[in-house]
Amino acid sequence: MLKRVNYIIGYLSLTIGSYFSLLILKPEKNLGEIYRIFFFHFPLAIASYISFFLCLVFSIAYLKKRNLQFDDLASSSAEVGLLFCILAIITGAIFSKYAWGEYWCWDPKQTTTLMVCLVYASYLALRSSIDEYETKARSSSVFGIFAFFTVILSYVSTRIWFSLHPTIITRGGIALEKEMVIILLLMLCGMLSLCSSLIIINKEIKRIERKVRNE
Amino acid sequence: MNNRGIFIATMIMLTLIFAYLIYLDLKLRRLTR
Repeated sequence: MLKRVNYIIGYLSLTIGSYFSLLILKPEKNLGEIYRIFFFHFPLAIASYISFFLCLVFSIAYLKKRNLQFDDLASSSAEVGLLFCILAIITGAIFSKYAWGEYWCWDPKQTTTLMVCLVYASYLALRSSIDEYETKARSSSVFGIFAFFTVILSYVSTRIWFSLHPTIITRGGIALEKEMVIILLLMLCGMLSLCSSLIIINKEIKRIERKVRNE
Repeated sequence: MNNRGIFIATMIMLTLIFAYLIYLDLKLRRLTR
């Protein structure tokens, strides 16, 4: 039941959010129409950060409880987070082409986000290189904990280095107009529902796969 | 492509993604029963 509600919330929020961001909002003064991609880019990036955070939490939970269900959740979160992170990089590169003139400028934000992608890709490579479940879970949990430092680095990169990338979430709140914030929250809600649905389904597949292999 | 076209493309993609999710969910439920 909860899953169905999650699907409905996700579908409706993304539909309404896309409708308002693509058709209702007026073009921006400096960027014109291209700024609408921001309503997809920002929620994708936040959803990927949250997925990686979940990977950290479930990795710690696995090391504490030694329950393989937590390991399934951690690896599912990392996979979904990586997918969302790659999509955030692609949408960011398109935005960058029109806002800064190049698809890729080696901006601190772009570079550190690429680093996050590579680190989590190596997390998945590490997992696929070990066959025994306990060893795989233990080593990847430790890796998952340390990998999260790159996510923190990516998040604070615009604050510690000079960057063209704007800082949206500041101490004073979200630095955007009120109507944009509402649409952004709607899109974020939809992306998070999609993200959680993917993580849950992925986790179930992993559990069944393990069960089949053990039989 | 204008904004309306992009919106329709987005909607088709979203519908396909969620339809696939529901299909996977139902399939998993049948497998675990």
